[in-house]
Amino acid sequence: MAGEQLALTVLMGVFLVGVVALLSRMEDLRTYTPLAGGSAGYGDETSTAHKPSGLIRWLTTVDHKDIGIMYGLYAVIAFVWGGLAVMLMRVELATPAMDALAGMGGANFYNGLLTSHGITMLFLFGTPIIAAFANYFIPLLIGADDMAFPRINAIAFWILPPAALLIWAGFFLAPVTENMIEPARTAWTMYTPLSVEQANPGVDLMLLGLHLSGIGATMGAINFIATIFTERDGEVNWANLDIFSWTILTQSALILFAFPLLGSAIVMLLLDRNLQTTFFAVEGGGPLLWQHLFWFFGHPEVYILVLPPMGLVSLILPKFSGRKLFGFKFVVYSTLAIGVLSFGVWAHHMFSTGMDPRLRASFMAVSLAIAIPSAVKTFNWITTMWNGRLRLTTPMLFCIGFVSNFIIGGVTGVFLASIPVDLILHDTYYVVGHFHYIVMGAIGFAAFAGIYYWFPIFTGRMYQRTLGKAHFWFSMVGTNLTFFAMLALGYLGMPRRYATYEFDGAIAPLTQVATFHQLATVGAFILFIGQLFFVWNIVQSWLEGPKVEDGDPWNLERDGMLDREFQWFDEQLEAEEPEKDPSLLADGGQEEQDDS
Amino acid sequence: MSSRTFDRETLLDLVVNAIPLAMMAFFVVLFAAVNPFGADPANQAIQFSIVIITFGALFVLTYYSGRAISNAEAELEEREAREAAEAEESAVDGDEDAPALAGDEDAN
Repeated sequence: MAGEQLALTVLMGVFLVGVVALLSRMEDLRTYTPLAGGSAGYGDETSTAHKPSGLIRWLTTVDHKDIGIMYGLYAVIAFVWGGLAVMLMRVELATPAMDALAGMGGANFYNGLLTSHGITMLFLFGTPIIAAFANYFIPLLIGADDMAFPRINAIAFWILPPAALLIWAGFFLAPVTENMIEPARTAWTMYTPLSVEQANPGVDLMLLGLHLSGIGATMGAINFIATIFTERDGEVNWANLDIFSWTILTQSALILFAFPLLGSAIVMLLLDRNLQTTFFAVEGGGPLLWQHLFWFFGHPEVYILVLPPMGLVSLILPKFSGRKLFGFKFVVYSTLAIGVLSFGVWAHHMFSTGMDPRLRASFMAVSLAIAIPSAVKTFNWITTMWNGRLRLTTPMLFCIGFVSNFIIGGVTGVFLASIPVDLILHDTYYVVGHFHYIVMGAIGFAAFAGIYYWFPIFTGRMYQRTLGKAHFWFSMVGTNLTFFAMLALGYLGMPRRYATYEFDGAIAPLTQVATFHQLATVGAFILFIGQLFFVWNIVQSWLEGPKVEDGDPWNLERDGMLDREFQWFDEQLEAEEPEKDPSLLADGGQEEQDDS
Repeated sequence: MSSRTFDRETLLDLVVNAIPLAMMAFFVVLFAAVNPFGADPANQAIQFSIVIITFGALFVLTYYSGRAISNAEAELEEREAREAAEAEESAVDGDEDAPALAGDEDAN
């Protein structure tokens, strides 16, 4: 007992010494006034004019560029988690029987992975990777000093790590609580009554985490709206606002209307689970109430995730086509149209629930209408490339891959919007293939395009081109092999969300189903190898890549397409040269003034 | 709606949203004309309101965004014209450093 107390005292002592050491490294903390005097700097060196060094810089920063990088790192970590989860699932699905995961909890573990993969990729990878680009580049693109509310910006990010820990909590706590708290097994849709009756505190933790991530997303959205409306440079107005800012503005409006609804629905679900309310019980609102509330959020969420990537492609693709975006205003108006229409289509996820056929018809009508603005953009991208001087750089390859995958994902979606087709294909792998073409084939690809395109700006270095192209081709082949196989599996009647598929050969041709599952697994491995190239490339190039000397690394000036962010980058490089000072001024920062 | 704000160019740009609007209008007429599921005032009211409210929201947003962008364009043109005039004026005054008139280079 005494020994334990002694150990605890020593531990506390070491901790306090650590705190003192950390604080002493901050030098003169009082001189660091984030943005208050506009004198916050950028760089690794600690000085009174710049940011603190080391960890403290990242913990205290309110600079939109730093927060953007943190969002990016967070999203990549989440992408790794979600990716590893799905690799385990794909290995399990290579054979009809339960074998690969049998020793780890079997179908229950598979269901936990399924839930975690979905929620992680949508809420912890998709939304944050978009926020990463938006945070770093929106202020630069619109000529703002920083975000409108820098501190709220920081809070919105710092809410996310605890959200991720709560969402993943079941995986960490199951081994230490002897499976008292397990991973949530509700799928990302959290349909009732399954999610109400699953007596597992891991579900509550996941719901709280999801709620938290929604609060972060909403705070970010408010900030982006305020920034784009009020912080624009005098020369930027609605007529020459760049396309990425337009899509972020629309996305933020969607978040503002959709996420609070998810938050309310989650609170109702938590009350049903823990305080015996009957919001979603048969004697109360009924299970369909959950589906209506969830999908009223859930379908706009699809566009929350896809609109900014469309903006990225609309911004990057013309740069390597040597032509301005064809029909710029078509893209702007169609973005706004998607934003509005996305709130009138939610029940197309519920065609097979037995709802009134008149309502189904209406949702089908609006779902078909929303295909138009999406298709318009596709034609704009193709027309931009038509007769252009194409340069097949890595970001351009990912943009072209985006268009190709988006067409397959989009067309399969139009089929699903049709009630008779949906009734046959509902809950099959066809739906899984359709939306993965969008979320991985389109959103993922646009994110990669953005990372490669702006890599010189946020690292000051250039990535390795061969590795970048290998990343693209592995991703393109892997994506199409995996998700096309899923479309075929859907036509064969393979239901989604199952860990095993040892069904009677009279129901569906088991051999063919197994073959397509194996193809999908092979595709997933190809995709996985591609992502290894990506991580290796990014990490090594960030540390050792050749430094970018030219403020226009993509030679955009030739076509008159050098945007504000690269002009800003050029200014930073020039400012750096005379005295070889590695520090870059933060946006809104001032040259050091002689106070004496 | 002033005719200057919604000139031919702006209306052409807005056509992109007219297509989904027309589709929704078509379905409203279709649902009114053909009703194979029988009369049910409550469900029919919801059926029509889903399409009509979405139609209205899209129409209003298209109108206001079109107006905002069109006005902003006019403002830009005005600014460019003013700058060009100032540049011309200073050139006449014999200022050698006067910026050249911005020629809109065609990228293609």
